[in-house]
Amino acid sequence: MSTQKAHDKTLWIETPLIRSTHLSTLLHCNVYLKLETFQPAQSFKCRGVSYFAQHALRTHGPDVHLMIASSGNAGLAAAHAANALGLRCTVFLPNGISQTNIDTIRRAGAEGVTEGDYYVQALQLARKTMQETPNAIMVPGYDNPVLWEGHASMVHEIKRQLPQGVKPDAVVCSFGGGGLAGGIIEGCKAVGWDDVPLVTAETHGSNCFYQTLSLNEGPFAGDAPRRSGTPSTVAHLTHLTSRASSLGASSPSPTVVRKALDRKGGVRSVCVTDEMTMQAAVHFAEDHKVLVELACAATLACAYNPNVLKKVVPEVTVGEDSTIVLIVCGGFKITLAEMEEYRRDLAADVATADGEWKVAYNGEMFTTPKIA
Amino acid sequence: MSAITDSILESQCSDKLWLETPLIRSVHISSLLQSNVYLKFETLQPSQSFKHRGISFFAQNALRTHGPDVHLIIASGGNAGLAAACAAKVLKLRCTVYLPHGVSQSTIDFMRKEGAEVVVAGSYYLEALRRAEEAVQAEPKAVMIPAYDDPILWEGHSSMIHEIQRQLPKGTKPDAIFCSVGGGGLAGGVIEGCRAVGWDDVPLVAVETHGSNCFYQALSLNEGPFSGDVSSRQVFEGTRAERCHAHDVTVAHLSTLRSKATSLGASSASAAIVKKALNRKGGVRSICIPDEMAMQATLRFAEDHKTLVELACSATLAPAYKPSVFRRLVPVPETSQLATVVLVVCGGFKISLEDLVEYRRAVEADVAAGGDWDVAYNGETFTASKAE
Repeated sequence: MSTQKAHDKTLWIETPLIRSTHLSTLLHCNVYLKLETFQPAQSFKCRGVSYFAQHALRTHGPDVHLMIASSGNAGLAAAHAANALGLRCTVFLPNGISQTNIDTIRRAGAEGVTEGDYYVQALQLARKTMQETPNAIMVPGYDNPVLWEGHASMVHEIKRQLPQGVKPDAVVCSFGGGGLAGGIIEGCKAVGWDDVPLVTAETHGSNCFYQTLSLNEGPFAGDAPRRSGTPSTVAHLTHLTSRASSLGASSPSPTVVRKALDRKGGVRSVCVTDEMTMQAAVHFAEDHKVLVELACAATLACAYNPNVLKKVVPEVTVGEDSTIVLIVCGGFKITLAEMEEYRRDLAADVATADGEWKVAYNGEMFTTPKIA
Repeated sequence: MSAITDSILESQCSDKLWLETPLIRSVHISSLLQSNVYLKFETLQPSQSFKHRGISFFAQNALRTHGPDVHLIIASGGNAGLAAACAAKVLKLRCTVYLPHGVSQSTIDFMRKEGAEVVVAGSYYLEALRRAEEAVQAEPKAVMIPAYDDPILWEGHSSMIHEIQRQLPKGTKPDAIFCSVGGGGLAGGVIEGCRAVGWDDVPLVAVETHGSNCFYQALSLNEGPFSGDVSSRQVFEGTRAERCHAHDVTVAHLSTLRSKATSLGASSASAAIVKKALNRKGGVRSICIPDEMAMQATLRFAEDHKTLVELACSATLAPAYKPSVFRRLVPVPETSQLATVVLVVCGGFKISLEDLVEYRRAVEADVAAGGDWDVAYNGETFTASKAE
């Protein structure tokens, strides 16, 4: 492919926006699913990461060597983009990533290097290697405006794909480090949807964004604790205990936090239990025949538990003409064996005497009955 | 009718009700087969299968011909009924689905969610069909939606091929298109679509299971691609051969269907489609596989592509997951280019996580039992390794 063509050709696909009969019936409104699972690397990461890769090709030339530290999805997206552009790519993965997943990344054309027990150690090695390698560039995980611009393409598509003139009453997305949210916020601004409410979903065991919001003036109930003169205070989590490992950021992008706090439509930050994500993943597979990772299912959990949606987006209960859009961000690391595990663990959790799941929402806690 | 109503009716009749589905190049299968393998994801249609195309097209045609009071009736065990219900809902038409007893509650619920009336009648499909036919006779405004044997259906289904042509890299012509065959509706759409876009010479690989292979059996009763003399070929046990004079072709009527791929379940294939398949330039390569091979493909596809498909659909994927089988169907091109192949992932909503657990057990047991799988192809049989 000539360099000219490589710059211009879009490396992600316009994914389907499907109206879900099951969820629309359950929630008495129009629920649309943006199915990012159909991207070449099976997650939304393809957008921003390939956009960044094309940018790197433009600025550094065809010998640029892309490097990325990732526990999976960003790495696979980088591998796909590099392969399409004829660029070299090295993915630094923490130990503990399954051989199947490493093979998938290698099959996509990247070199895979495993290092350390955690992402942070893989990142350290990636940075060190980048400094020693001529013409190497680090592909960011989530904290970069070029990434957000690529991800924002999703919102332009959604606007075109919804019935003419329809503006969502809410958009729901998962939040790891904030790359996806950054893209949605920027995309909304670009299409005149800055006032559309954004609901972000995390799990209790991996909720750096929720914790960060609680440290700042904003939508959270009560007074923000005293803070130093930084534009926004950011939480740094030392332990991530959630099984939704692809959320796995210990701190969010400060810029995305700022954007979320400043936007007209605001931000509604929700944390759900791991079991709620499992329930949503299982139901989503049965209803829509698509397997998603738990990180993605955090978004779906807000819809599969009507109480959560009623509480977080009360506007929707008013009439049947409301519209919500769920970003089904995807992820390639989900397996049938894990789905079986989730079915079992969910059944065990629902069977326990304590029949309620705890949900956190903008500084307040509420409970919702456990459902199988 | 007012001008506004006219124009609404006009757009209801002309705006297509199906989605242009993604055509995804499969990294996994392409690297397995050293070819460019594209998947046409019909699972994303509103009713989760390709049936949405032809059936919604038929429904629009019924609306145009009979007006907004038309009552759509269909007998179906699943996917066709759901497609009819979805289309009727959008077009604001009345729709009744006749289902045989034994259909799952979730199937009934799904159709009702789409706004259809559901009548459970008869212990098997043919009885439900009879009841549906009686209802159509009794009601002047009622129209029967055919399951697979109708040119309007094929025209709707053929839209898939126009999309594929646009979606493949510019100027690419497939070396083969694979699809599952139940009664032949999908094959009809593929054949008509290929003709329309100048692909009449593109080979069609038609996949069935041994226990539900009315199309394979029909082909074997006619002059055509099958090996050996037609007069020396035997009629399968339990099958009645019948000459269809309208289409000048012999068809097979199967008395029992033994396959677990129940959505293939037609006791005879459309005579018109059998004829078209025999007459087309690209010919037809008819293959039958065991249920377990389709189950294995279902599991592999779920792991690779994170999508659950019915057995009837994964029959199409099964030869692609076995390089030795694939090579017999699609020889390595003479040029140095890689072969380009399109697999129609026709979809279907009747697949669950529990089914996949059952399939894993069945495949493991079958592999443990040793031996190879028998594959039938255009009148000959060969074996495929279970472990490949």
